[in-house]
Amino acid sequence: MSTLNTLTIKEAHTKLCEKEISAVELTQSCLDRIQKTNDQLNSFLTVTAEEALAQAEDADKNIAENKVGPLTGIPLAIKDAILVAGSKNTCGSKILENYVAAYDATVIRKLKEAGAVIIGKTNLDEFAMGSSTENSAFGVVKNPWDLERVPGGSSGGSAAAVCADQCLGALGSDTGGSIRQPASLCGIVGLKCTYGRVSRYGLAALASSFDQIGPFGKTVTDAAWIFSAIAGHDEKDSTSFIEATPDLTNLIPQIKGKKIGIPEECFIKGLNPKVKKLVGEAVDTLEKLGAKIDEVSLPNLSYSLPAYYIIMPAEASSNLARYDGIRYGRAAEVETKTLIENYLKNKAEGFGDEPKRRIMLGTYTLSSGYYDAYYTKAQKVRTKIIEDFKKAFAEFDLLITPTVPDVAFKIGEKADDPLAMYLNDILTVSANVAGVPALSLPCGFVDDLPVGLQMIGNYYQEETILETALAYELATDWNSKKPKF
Amino acid sequence: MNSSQKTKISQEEVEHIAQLARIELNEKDKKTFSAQLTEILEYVRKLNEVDTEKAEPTAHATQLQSIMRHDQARSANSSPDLIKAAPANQDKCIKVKAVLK
Repeated sequence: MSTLNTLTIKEAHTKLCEKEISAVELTQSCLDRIQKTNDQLNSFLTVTAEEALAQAEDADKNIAENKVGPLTGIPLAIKDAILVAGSKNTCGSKILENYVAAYDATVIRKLKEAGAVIIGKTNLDEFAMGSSTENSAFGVVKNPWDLERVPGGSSGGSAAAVCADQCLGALGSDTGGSIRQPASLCGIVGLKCTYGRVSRYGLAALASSFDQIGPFGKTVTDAAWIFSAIAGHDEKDSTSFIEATPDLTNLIPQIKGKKIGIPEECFIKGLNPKVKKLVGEAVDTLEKLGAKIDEVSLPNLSYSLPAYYIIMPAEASSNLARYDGIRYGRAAEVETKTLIENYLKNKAEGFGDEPKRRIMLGTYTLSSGYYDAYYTKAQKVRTKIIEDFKKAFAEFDLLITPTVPDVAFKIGEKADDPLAMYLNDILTVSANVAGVPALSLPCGFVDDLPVGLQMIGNYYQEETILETALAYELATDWNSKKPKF
Repeated sequence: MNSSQKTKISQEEVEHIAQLARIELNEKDKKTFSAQLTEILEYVRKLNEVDTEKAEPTAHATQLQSIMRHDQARSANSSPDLIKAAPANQDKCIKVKAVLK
């Protein structure tokens, strides 16, 4: 069996340019790997083999004419909340089980223009609500490092697919950590961009003031290449950032003289001491590489998660009102006579527990009499958290924390305890609350399970994060270790 | 969110919220959600520790200004597909249940 699927994007690109391999061979290699492993992993919900091979053929024609970009002929997987025209888009929910996207998300249009091959749609927590991919209506995703453990979430399918070499890279979306947390638990690189850096057009909305699409890669360079293809202004997203995005396909490692802050508030109760030790060693490595390390305090950091769990459900309850059984997806299974009855039945049958929980939480905090006490209060705390970050970035180029307090947990371990599940986001969520970019990359292993290091940057400074991460990656090489799966 | 009194979401309140959210719940759901929502709201009360007297609320983290464009019609060829996505449709219309009793 071909092992082309194990290549990084950069390696595959070189081989494609030198006509050593074809895009069709590369794509077929990934399709074979998916066929062989997807029953166990459950990472893909839809595999568009025919379309992918057609796109690969087009890529080969372009390569023959030396029309090659960084992503030409590269097979990528897409989280099933990002619309690909003509493909099903379930959002991991029964309510959308038969919904077929009528148009491409802006990021998909850009990937297609870049010549990438869209290989399929990946499993996720229902409407991106979760940290384990156990909330999918279509079954749990397994972590390739240990099939009894979760891959993280909500973009768990994309992370597991990249980790298990079912594709070369993937897109996920990150509202409170849904790219970085699964990247950490699967031992790969995941980037949440600055809010507004990547268009949200065609992404099923969870919480609109936090949601960002971003890349998963086997390496920092791969993540930078996908980032460069998808970022940029889009008039179809009114929160899209207008300034041009730097092209990071020629990323150079840079670390000397960079000021890196370690927020003391990130060493929380519940942080696995072995994770803490690895993060400490990573900080030592960065210092040896020439970074200037110092402690920093962001006094309101620990309020990020409670603020998030007011604002996010409030926005979600409003966004998910559109799934009314009229414009999308399924009709209620039982016969209904009136419109209101139709809504009640459809949402009862179509939504799983987590969307129901968050819709109700949001409906409650936004309801008359509670709005100011909960929603406005959380918005004000959000201001304080943003001020903390601005102060920290006046002094530092980057902040470093563990991505997640622990390694991947066992399937079912936290399934009945929503609050314990929410605490998984405790170190990732502040970047969404403040809107700043952040990345997770591997920094070692605890009991053969990967651990992620989080680098948080100032607004629009993805380049600073990626060039530092690249320097660290080159010095450590954690990503050369692969699961036995 | 008074800092001294405990927030308890009763099953009746859960029923009321579910009605506002247009979700039908069974008795078991009401009991589970009553306990879980109470626990979550108890957790978020931690925000009362923060002095926000002088803070303005943030709706949007990156402080972008409103972006304007000309109000010009553009053709989107996706409307037949969008209509097709509705579970009940006829010709160029989406069918709905009776609105009036």
